[in-house]
Amino acid sequence: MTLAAMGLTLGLVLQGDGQPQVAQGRTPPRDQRAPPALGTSTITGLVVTDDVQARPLRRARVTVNGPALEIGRTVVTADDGTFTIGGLPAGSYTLSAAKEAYVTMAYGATRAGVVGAPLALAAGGTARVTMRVPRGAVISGTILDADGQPAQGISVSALRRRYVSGGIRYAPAGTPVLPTDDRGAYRIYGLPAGEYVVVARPGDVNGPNAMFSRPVRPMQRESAGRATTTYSPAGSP
Amino acid sequence: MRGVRGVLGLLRVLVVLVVLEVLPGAAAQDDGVIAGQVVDGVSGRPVAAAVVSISGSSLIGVSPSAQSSRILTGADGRFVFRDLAAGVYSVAAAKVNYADGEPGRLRPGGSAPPIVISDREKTVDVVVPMWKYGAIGGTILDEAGEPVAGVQVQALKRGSATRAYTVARTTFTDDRGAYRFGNLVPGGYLVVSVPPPVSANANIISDNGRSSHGNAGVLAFTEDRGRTPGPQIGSALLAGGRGTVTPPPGGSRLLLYPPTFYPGSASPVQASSVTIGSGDERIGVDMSIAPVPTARVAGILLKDGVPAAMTTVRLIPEGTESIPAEVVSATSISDADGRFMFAGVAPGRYTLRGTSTGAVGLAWVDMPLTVAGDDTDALVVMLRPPLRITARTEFDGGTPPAASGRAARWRQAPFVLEPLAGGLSGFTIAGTTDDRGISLTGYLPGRYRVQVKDVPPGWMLKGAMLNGVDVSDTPFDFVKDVPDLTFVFTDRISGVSGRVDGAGPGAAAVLLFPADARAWLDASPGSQRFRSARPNLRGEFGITAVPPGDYFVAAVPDASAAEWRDADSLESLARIATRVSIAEGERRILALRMTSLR
Repeated sequence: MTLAAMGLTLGLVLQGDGQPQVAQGRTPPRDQRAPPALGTSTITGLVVTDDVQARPLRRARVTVNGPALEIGRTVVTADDGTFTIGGLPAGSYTLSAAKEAYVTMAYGATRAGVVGAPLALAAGGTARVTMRVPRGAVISGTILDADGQPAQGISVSALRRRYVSGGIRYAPAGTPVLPTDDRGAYRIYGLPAGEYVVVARPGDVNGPNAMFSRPVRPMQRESAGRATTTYSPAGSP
Repeated sequence: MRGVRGVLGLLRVLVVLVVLEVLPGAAAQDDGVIAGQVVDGVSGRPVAAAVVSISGSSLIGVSPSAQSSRILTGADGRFVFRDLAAGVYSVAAAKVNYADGEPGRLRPGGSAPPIVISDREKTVDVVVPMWKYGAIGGTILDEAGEPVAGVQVQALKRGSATRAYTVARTTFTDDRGAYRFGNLVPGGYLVVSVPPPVSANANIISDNGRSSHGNAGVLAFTEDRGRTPGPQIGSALLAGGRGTVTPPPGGSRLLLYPPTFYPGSASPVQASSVTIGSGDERIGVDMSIAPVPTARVAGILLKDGVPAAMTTVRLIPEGTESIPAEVVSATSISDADGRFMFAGVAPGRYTLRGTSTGAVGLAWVDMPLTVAGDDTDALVVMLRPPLRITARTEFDGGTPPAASGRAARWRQAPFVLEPLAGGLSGFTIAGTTDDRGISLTGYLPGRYRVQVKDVPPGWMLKGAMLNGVDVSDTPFDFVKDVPDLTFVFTDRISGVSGRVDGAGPGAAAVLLFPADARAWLDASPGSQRFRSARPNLRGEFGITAVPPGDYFVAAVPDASAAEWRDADSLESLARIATRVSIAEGERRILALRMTSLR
């Protein structure tokens, strides 16, 4: 594609010598391709915390996905927890809400990690939704070596027990966890409520030396107290 | 037990046989000793239970059972390595909660001279200072006082030679907004939070998927394999994902969190360095971050009228030259039509910088750009071809070296343009010259240092002349084609020599550096104007091929010469140094006396 083919009319032209020049008689660069499908439907809603007295959740990211969209679209909630996603074609959509330290929830889902309910949008219609997003639970603790000294740089994760096609599988949960710090401390946050096994992996992350904790059940909210597990990798799992 | 001893004894014999085979007669000379003491760098007290290890070219091939290369220090902090052949060795000490120690260091993490065992100097005594690690911690809150979870925080440390900052550590805040850097080598750090924004046209993800020249940076726009893109503001897509801060929803002006330096400025100039000493823990290095109104800057990248697709461009704020660009500069990636979009740029002065290596070939842009409060949507940015340099040699004085036989090699004085940090440059391109000169291209604009790697015997480099300025030791800004770089060689070799009094054999180092303090920032190990020499057993030294000029010359204890090219060290050295002026072809003879710093 050449300049002429792009039909430039008026724009600031920057040359390598750094002197901006005004290019005359051209139109601004324009997208020659068909614009993404633009519709007339709207989703508007409110994101709140999953407390007894629900509070609006600011700065949550609400993502809409659907067959009519090539890629998803993400908007951010205002200080009062509200959001609007306009210009959607009619169709079926899924919706999810996420915020750091909170548990990502799909619209219509009763708990974290499960598929939500699809949202049907008619042409020109507006759907109003409310999404409840729980604050994630926290597991924190210290990893000690056989001498009782803080073990640094150990990768730690919280594994959640899942039943998959008749078998039990463990999958990591929560925000990506930093390795233990210079005090041997780790902190896993953003966890959905449930029972976890904490695993510490000295050396290679996939190595055979993993040490497992007894199952821990962190409280839903940190203000209600947090679970702390301290154990030595040298001890029995 | 006896069996084990027997095996060990046999092993020793085998090792000796192997050594004898490799180095005939070496066994008789392997009586060098490196002894020393590990001490605390602050208190000077012995450090017990440190693991001291030795390495060196002469140890290769020697079985570990013949020579333990690791020693655990006792209460007196002492260690000794025996039976060493002549050669160059390095010694390092390690201990939990301490930064690694090496002999001769003046400060934590500084450089250390290698230890030389020669036939004459068989016993070397060294002191290995060690400093304890420190820690920095704090909390990041947003403008509403809410802890910011998962935001990237970096600790930057200033390099000793270049004075530019590098990223020492990267971490992320937890759900309480808290961060911690442990195991920090003592020194001064800048703490900066919030990565600079990455943005592009919203179609970038699908464009990247279709493009044959993909851009790895596009990954920053998605979490969860493209299903969950970053926040979309109008037609712009912002990178989300780990470390970023979700911006407030769009109003008439996009509000974005700029990179924020402790205690709370967008500019590193107003940042406070957090200094930690040996074993210090600085907590409460807290910051509040707040969004600022921004303007959109968008346009198209063209090379000879052709759109440059999937090209990364940065807007580098003015006054951040010493900070790595990725810490402070907004990034955009052009789409399939060459269109880029910085979704939110705070008003100010910037440099727009980028390199394309895709379908349009190697091309670059590097230009000033002032962003006012208004959106700019139709910038047309012309990428330029790589720079060209033409160089030639000139022989000043006697008969130039003959163009035949062994000397022919010298007619083509090989040179290297070494790119320095800060510019676009990332290539080191070597070239050769002859009488007719040579032309090389492929360079990107930036700051370069020119180094001549070889000089004809009997000649010295007098200078590398560019527009009447000698750039042989001073970095120069290579921003447009250089038509005439001339390497001038002379056979009138200048230098200094003499003797050092007041020092035992091997105890002194002679250091030479320019008298003009403005040149000190350009000190590099390859520079002809920053030189060091070790006097021989009679205290005699010589430094040859020193370009004419005014210099300081100092003789100091060898151990304190480790980081002498630092500007701080040069300042102390200048106070005890002798000032000399060296004329063209002059060989100055000096009588120096070893003087301790401090």
